[in-house]
Amino acid sequence: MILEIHFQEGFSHDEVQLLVDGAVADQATLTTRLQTGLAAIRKLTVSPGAKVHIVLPGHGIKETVPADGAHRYVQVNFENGNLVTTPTNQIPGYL
Amino acid sequence: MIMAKKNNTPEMPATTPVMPDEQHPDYQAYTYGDDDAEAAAQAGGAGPGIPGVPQIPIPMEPFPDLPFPNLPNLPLKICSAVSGRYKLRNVLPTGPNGPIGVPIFNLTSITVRVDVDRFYPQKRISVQVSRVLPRSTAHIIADVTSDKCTGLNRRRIEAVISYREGNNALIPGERLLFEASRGLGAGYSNYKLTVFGSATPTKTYVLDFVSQYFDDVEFEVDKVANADDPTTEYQTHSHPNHPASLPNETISFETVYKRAGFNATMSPNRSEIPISGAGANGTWSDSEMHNAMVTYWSRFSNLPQWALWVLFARQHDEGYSLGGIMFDDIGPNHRQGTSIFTESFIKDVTPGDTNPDAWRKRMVFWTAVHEMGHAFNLAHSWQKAMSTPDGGHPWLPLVNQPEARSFMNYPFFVSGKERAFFSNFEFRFTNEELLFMRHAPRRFVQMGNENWFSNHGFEEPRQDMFSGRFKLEVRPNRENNTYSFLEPVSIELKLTNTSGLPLALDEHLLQDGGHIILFVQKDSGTVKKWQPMIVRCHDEHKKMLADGESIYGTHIVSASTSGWLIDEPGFYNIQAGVDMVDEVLLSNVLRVFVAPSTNPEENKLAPDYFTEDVSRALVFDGAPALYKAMDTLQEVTERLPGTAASLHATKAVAAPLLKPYKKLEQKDGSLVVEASKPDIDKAAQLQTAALMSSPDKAADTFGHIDYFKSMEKLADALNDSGQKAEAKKVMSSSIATMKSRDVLSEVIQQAENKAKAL
Repeated sequence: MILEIHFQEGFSHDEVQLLVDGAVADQATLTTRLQTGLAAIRKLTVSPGAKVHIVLPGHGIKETVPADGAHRYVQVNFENGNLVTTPTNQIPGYL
Repeated sequence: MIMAKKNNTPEMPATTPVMPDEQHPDYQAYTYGDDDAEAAAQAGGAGPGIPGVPQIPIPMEPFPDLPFPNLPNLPLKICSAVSGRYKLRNVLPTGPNGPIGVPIFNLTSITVRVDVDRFYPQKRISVQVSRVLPRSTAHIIADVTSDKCTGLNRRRIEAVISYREGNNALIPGERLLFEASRGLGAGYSNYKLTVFGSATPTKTYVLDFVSQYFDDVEFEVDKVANADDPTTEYQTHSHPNHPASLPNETISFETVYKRAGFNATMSPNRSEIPISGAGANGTWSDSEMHNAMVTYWSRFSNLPQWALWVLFARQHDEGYSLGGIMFDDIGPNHRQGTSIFTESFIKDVTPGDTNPDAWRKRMVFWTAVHEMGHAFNLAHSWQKAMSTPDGGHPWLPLVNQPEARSFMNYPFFVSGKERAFFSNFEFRFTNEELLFMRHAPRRFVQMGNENWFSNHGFEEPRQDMFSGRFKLEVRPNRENNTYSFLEPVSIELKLTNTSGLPLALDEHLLQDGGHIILFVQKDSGTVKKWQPMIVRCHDEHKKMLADGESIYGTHIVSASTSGWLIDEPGFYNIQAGVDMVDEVLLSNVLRVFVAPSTNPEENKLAPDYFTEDVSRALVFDGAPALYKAMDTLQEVTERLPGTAASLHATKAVAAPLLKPYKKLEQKDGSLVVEASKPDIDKAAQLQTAALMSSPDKAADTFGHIDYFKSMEKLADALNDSGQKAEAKKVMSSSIATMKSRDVLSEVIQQAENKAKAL
């Protein structure tokens, strides 16, 4: 299945890794564009039951991403030093 | 593939008219009687940021702007709207027989924005001041504390300054008083702004009304061939979910931004952009849109300007999730372009909605206004307080407004999502956003994001802007103001203490090049600014100037760093300004005449003579490294003997010979400073001929300061080379010329002392 990770507010030159079952599936340095409130959209192909994590090595943060197949999209915001993830089935929009 | 360039397509007519301002419940056309301080201080009602608190519009009948009958014993306290933009009045200088029409300039421009009525008044007065010399700006915003209508169209508005940016000295003070009053008719005709301060003199500025809007802005809408047609209008009742009080009207981009305070107009230029501009993938990246903007926007320029390009495209590279973006954060001039994507989530109607077409149209219209708002530098409602590590920060400390009913909030972010949002959205910006758009320093808001600069014209400065402590004169210091064709025009500046008291002053103010400005205008043509070739940095040398005492300076006004300002026959106006730190002092206008050439040799030499290098060689008293310029000056001395131009040329050719002239030379792969051997005899022979064979003629063309300084240098050089008798002869000639030309006695005394010491 396809899981869309939307990195939204709060990123500023932050190195981000996406781990699928412990292996780095994607990584990037992200900065939120203030015009849209969006840093990046990353699409992962994952098997049902896979363990997906977001890692911010520079901040020592590792957060589990809900990937139970019930939601297509996950919104990720970096607020006050914490990653906040919000799964949804409605496509997040940016303006 | 070659893409079609701009074409002209007329505006589509509105299907339903927009409501006239005077009939709109949010428009305040009149003020009756006195407004108390509390009411005056509250801006724009509650504003749209607080849902559930209804605004109470006060509908008023239109009041005709016609002569009103004088009814005895019936005080009429009715004042029509005054909000808008004002500027410092231009006044023609007057002579004994009225305006004389001689063009002179104004070094300071002032724009006042009064915001107390019409749409969504913010109860503010902001003042923007720009000074040319030295270039400096100031911006203040004042909160209205009292707004009184004291009679038929007699308005008196007081405000306290709460925000300052830039050079405080340009507009010192703490309080403002704006007054508008009628003249012979019923309408306003007199406007003035007074600035008060506890420790600064009160200053009054007479203003002219410019516009009911705070700035002008132009929008150009283009579309990509495969995108839906642009949605530039929306009928407010076309979707049933709207505030009950919302007037039923068709609003457009212009309507929204006019109500925000801008005289918004739509460009008649519209282009259809081929999809090829988006590259092979058919979707648009930011840089592709930027390229399209450069190609298709009729107003594109790498300059800040009140103009914006709005593109309707099908889809961004980011995909369906991106409904629109202010894409232009590329290059030095940001916020000039914005786009809306018709194949994106903004077309997805909330499931179950009863009027999907209107829903979709409303969302596209809303998105376009939102993206355009970013181009005015507005952030999202939930980002208002945000600072970024890259230096982004709010212009004022702001609070986030995640529930705001604003064009700058996401409808789907608020509690209750779109339905809740549009149920009390009034198609406007919040008060905080309006305050920013209308009153923030304009470079914060203007598309292109650069410092505002107002080009000045030749205008009379308001005399009440100046303290009257000093008088500045510009004069030729010769009997007539006529110059020959190639003769460099040298003017003298005289600054006199007229205060009645001794005042401290930097004695180099007129000479160092850092504090003065000169403007030159040929006939009634373009005004050119003189830029000094020499600006001296030095410690401040304050001297006490007694009442009536003066300091002097001289400059060759013909020659500027931008080239020759006076290089053809005709009449020229010259005016000077001097930066006195707390004010700019302006001189009289000196009118000079440059006579046509009477010698064919002059015309032959003119192309080589009127060059930047020759002007430098003249100003620097010779420049041996500028070989061609020095050759030209040598030619002038030989082919035009006895002319004023040849006197200048001779002095410039000879001066480097008076001293060991240093040159930076390349030698054996490295740079070394080498000094040439002086040739005092040759220099003295040339300069004696130029300066002393006809002293009056030489003093006329060089001006007193330059002439007597040159004589002193020549005497020093002769003295240093052991030719004391020759040196004394030079000083004697100089003193005799001074006496015959009524030079100040203390200057003559100094020269006599020097002669004795030789």
